Amino acid sequence: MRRRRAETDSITLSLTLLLFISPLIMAATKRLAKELDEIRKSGQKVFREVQVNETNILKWSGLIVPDNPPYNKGAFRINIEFMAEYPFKPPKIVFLTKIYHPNIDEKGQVCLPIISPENWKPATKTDQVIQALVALVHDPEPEHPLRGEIAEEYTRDKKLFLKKAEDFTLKFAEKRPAD
Amino acid sequence: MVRGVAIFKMAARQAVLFDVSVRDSAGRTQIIPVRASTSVSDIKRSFSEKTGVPLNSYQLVFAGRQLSDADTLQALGVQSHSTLFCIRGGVKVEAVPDISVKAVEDKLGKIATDDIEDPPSSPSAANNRFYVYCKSVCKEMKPGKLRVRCASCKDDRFTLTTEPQGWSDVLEKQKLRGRCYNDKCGGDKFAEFYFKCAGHTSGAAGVRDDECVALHMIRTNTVDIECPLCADEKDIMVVFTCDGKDGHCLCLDCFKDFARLALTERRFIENAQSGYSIQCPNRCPDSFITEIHHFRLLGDELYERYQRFGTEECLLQMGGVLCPQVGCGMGMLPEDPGNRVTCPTCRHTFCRNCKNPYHRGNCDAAPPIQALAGTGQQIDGERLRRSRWDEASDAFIRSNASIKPCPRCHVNIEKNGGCMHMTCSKCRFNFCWICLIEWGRRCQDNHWFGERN
Repeated sequence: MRRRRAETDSITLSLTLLLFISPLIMAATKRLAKELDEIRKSGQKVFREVQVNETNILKWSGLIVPDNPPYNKGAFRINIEFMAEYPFKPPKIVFLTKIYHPNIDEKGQVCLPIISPENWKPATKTDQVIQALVALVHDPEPEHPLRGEIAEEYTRDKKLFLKKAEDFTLKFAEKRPAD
Repeated sequence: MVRGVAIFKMAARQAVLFDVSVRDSAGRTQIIPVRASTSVSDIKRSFSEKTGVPLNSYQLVFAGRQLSDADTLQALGVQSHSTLFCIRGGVKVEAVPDISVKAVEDKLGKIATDDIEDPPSSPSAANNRFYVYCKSVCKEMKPGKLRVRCASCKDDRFTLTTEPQGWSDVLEKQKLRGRCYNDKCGGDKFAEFYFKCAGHTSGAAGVRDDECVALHMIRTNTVDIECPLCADEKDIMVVFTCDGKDGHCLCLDCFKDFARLALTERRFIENAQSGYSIQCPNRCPDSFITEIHHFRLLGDELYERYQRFGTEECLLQMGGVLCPQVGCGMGMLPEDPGNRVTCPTCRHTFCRNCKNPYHRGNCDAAPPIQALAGTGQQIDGERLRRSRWDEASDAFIRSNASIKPCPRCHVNIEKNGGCMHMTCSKCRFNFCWICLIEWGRRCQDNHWFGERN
């Protein structure tokens, strides 16, 4: 009898949680569907092959195809994860492809100010986040490094950095799309 | 097809009979049945027939404007249960400048000052230019009506001489002048604007004072703007005032979510100008919500929480403390500068700095929280139970690796993701989750996202 009561309580609790969160998920879903459509229609070359988990629109993946050396010898796959509270909470970005970059660590974590909780603005669109990410890939910010030694190399011996980053890209990055 | 229906509805509305009141200077009221197409001269004729007051001896005033005989009620925006005021003598107006509250309503209710050519998509919402929070009867957000009266004698028999140019003219006191027709007051006086709820009849439920607070940020979406948060086009928008102008907006539903999340995560900021409030979603520096009744829209429970949090933040800024005892939380402003604080409500004695039970010496050396065991005190059962609960809660906090106290204010902080750079939600101190010292370059280089492998 007692256990049944506990079960009912937990069901009630999860129902309450669902009711509490569901309008938010609806708002997130609708906006993400629209953003996805816009990104796909834009036909941009620097961010493409955007794929979305069929059962969960909160999980995206896509391919970053940088234009500038040393990363223009390959392409980099990223995951974008949105929370149910999107757009009130920022998305998270992780590089799945290894990259030699002062602002992206070995686990693919990246510190992008536009999506940090202190700076996040709910009206910011994913496309703007991607543009900021591409800008960071092209122009590293050695003054806010995630990998101190690469940042130091970048500022002290840029030639060496470019060489190493290019070799790394050729070795680990994905093939660039044909067009 | 839709337009056809709308026109039909409008025609039907014109044919509907409703009541307006006409009040003379002695305060006597006549109720006159009218239609939207009824003209002012028709009403005056009915009024004179009922009261015997000669037709040429008075004029009518409504919402700050002297009415000319040819005006129809629809053009004036007079609705059911509106009151027209009778002013004796009065010059028959030939050409009054269009200083009607309706024109003001149209101007202020718009999202932007741009002129809008297209008719709004939803006819029902389009009629509402103002929204108020009705505290007395409806207990929710309702369409509102703007009214004007004499600032000195509060008499509604008052006409404006200048038209308000924006919300500041309406919300701030002593901005515009007009003419008062009260015999005892009279002449050139300051105008006072106020709002009434259009959701209930004046005087309903025995409420005499049915003035409402204007929710000036709530606007009808007449410009078909898309909510930047949910990417949907909604009828009702919330427009923030950013740097003194109409600024960033979002739909009412998103506003409620936005404010609710900010409140529950305690991201509201206490400041002298606006009290406990939030900025626009774009964080414009000068965009705090100043009319706190907008937070009423979050519902009673959250509004109550808003008031409690606001009081607590205000107290903490004044140098006060909150009793750390479970179930107490009493706020106090201890006069004694020492560390020993005793709560006047629950008599709990604690250290002002670390919020642990009172101890001598350094806070770091303080023993962990323990129930009153071994103190030899006489304690009643209820208190003992509560202290055990306290102990269990304390043990949970200490055993949980995702909860640590802020190095500066000692409030317990839970980390549920993200990097090691933490900002205390209470005192805003920036610190490192690993080192528990002020956040700096060294921590950023070595363990921004956790310990180096």
